[in-house]
Amino acid sequence: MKRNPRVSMLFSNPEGTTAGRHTVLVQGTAHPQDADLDHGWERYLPHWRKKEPVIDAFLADREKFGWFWKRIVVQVEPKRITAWKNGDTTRPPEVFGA
Amino acid sequence: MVKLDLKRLANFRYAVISHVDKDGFPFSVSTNFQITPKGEILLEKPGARPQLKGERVGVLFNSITAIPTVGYGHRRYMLVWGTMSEEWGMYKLNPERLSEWDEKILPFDQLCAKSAPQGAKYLASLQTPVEA
Repeated sequence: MKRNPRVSMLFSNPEGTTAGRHTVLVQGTAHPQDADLDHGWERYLPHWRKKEPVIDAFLADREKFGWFWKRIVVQVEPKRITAWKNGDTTRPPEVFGA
Repeated sequence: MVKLDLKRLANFRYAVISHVDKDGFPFSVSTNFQITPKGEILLEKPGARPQLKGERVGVLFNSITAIPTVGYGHRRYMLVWGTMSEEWGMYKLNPERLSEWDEKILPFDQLCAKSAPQGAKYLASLQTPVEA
């Protein structure tokens, strides 16, 4: 990723969201942040907690899960977003960006 | 040509086709697939990509289920690399290479142990050399 930062993220699993069964592809430039594996991710903890409240139990026992709490943050700067309404990818998508 | 376990492949609900766009960014799209009695993998043509014929692609079949209390279950994937041709108005995947994991075959902790050398190599690359 450091050698070639061009990445994409596809959100397509209907079980992975409560926001409707849409399919969204984000293509963009990745900025990996691995200078501080132990603390670099902590500013994103509120978002994580919102998605998985149970994470606080692991956090309380942080010293027992040394490897679990070593995290790389990858920030993706979007270049183009392609979206298929209702997840029907046989139909032409809406495209936003270059 | 790589040999695939089509019985296991048939248990996945959908496929994700990925290839490299003209501007170098990976393009991925999910689609339905079927396996013919002859063992061919046919994929529905996505609306956005009418021309994948002859392209080198990666096709991911995967499954993961969130457990309401904590964690995930039924984790498995098969990633098949190959080229696309056309048959019956669909894309036909001609498999060349496979990477896969199924936690029923290789439990997660064993997968982690197997991957540890790769992780250790990465961590070593992050260390700043110290002059003696």
